[in-house]
Amino acid sequence: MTPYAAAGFALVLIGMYATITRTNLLQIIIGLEIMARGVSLVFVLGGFQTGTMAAAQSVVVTVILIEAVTVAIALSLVVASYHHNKSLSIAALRRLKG
Amino acid sequence: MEVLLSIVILSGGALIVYLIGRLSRSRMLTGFVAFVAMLGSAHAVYQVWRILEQGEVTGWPTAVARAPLQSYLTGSYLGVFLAATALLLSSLVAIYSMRYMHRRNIGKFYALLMIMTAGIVGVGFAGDLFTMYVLFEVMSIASFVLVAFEREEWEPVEAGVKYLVISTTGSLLALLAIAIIYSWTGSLDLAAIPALMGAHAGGAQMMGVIAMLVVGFGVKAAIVPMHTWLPDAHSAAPSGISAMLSGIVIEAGLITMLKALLALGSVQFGLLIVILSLVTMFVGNLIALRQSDLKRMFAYSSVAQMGYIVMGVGFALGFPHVAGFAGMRGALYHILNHAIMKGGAFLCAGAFLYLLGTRDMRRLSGIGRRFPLIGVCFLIFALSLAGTPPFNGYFSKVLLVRSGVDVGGIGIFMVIMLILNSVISLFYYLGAVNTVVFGPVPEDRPKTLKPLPLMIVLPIVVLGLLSLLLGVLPQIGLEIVDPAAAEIMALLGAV
Repeated sequence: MTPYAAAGFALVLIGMYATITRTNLLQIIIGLEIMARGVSLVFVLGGFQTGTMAAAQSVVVTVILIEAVTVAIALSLVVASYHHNKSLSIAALRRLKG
Repeated sequence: MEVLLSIVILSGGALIVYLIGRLSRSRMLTGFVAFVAMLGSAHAVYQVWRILEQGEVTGWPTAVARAPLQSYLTGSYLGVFLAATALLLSSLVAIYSMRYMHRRNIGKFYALLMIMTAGIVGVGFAGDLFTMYVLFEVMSIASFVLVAFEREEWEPVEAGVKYLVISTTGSLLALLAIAIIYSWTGSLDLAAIPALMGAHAGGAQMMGVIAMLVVGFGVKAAIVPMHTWLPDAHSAAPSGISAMLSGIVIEAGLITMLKALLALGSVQFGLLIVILSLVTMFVGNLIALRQSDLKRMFAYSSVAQMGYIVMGVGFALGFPHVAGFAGMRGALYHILNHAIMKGGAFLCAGAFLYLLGTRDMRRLSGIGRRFPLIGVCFLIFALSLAGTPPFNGYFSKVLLVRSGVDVGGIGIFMVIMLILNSVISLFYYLGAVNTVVFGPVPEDRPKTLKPLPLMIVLPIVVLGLLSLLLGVLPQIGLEIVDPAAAEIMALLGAV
């Protein structure tokens, strides 16, 4: 594994760690974004290794677009959640059970 | 061309529907335009089926016009099957929502419903891994917004946040797996990847990639232990959307996973999937037993039903030469039947919610007698979900049982577990029918209830009749299921 691939996987792991351990909704969303950047890096590396950089670039641009839409929706849900609970902590999101 | 058309009609129509909803503020008109667009898309899908029946190839762009590594769509029987199921359910949901939803934001609602359907249709027709991922995300993003559509209430928002975070983490894991496959092969083409795998095929790294695909797409398919978002999201969403989510979106997640796994051309993970399916059906059924919320009970029952479907897929992948076709056929037929019966069950729950404003089964007691037509349909869906003849759920379960017997050994064990689970599920389905249809009417219920609009009754009755029709004449469903199953088994090298 090249150092670049290692960096990509490390970013994914850091993002996943943040998503799992953080209790603040905004930090969880930042964790998702870090994961997405790690995956993009692995894609760029794949394009570099196999000599198909053009395809890898278009893929990464599309991934960025999809992530932007997801984050926009995530943030709007966070705002709605804040209006209901007056808190950004996921501890306030434990009413649905069973 | 027809393949592209089936998606463009829906996604382009979504823009028009949004404008119509915004300008006219009429629920009937907006819903009707959405319904017509879905029929148009269904016609395009039918054309694809006709072309395939003639033994010709269809896709966009065509193989001749395509640049290397360009993303593309391709007509396939599996895609036709998924699109037909999705369009059947979503067109009925479009009719149902004409009176069920509030007038405010109606354009947004129908536009999102159409975009979600476009995503499902596209996932089936996608020809390469990345197109499949993009359309999968289109479907997911639309479903996040639809779950949290009523954002003035806390419950949909909480469910939506959970759904979004869990689902996005899953899709990013799957995307990482796709990125790794791409860095090995330099290709994203589903058909070309198996030949390019080379030394990577069957290695330890390959198992890691398979695990990431199963976990990543398994989140959407609600395979236990990745199912935790489902009961919240499916019970908090508007009822029409609950029907779509349970009836087709989680199944689309499974088909995405299946398509990605088939591209790897490896079959050593069948047993793992069979074991996951065993856990899935037990967890779903046992938790459903103790639910008092009607929609939440159906949500857990969806987890259990996914267990049955995943079992068939596991047989097909693990034992392709012994029971492959039978297992795949049972799984796909159960997807079609589940869309009809669970879609109908959620629409019934929505009708009761519309009348009484509650999902608590004790407070719904006896409502089915007050509206006999809905009560009878509710009975049909519950019996069909439990797998009683002569309704449609029975036949696909028989197909699954038969494939298990063909496998032998672990297959026989799984068949016994499937029958045990069907018995467990009878307890809560019949319990629900007993309360909601035959239970005593609570004293505090108002004497006069608002009448149930025709647009809410009609889709439920259509689904009830379909449930009966496919139970009595199952070969109608096999017309569309069999070619899709044969196509998948041909990819696995076992016809």
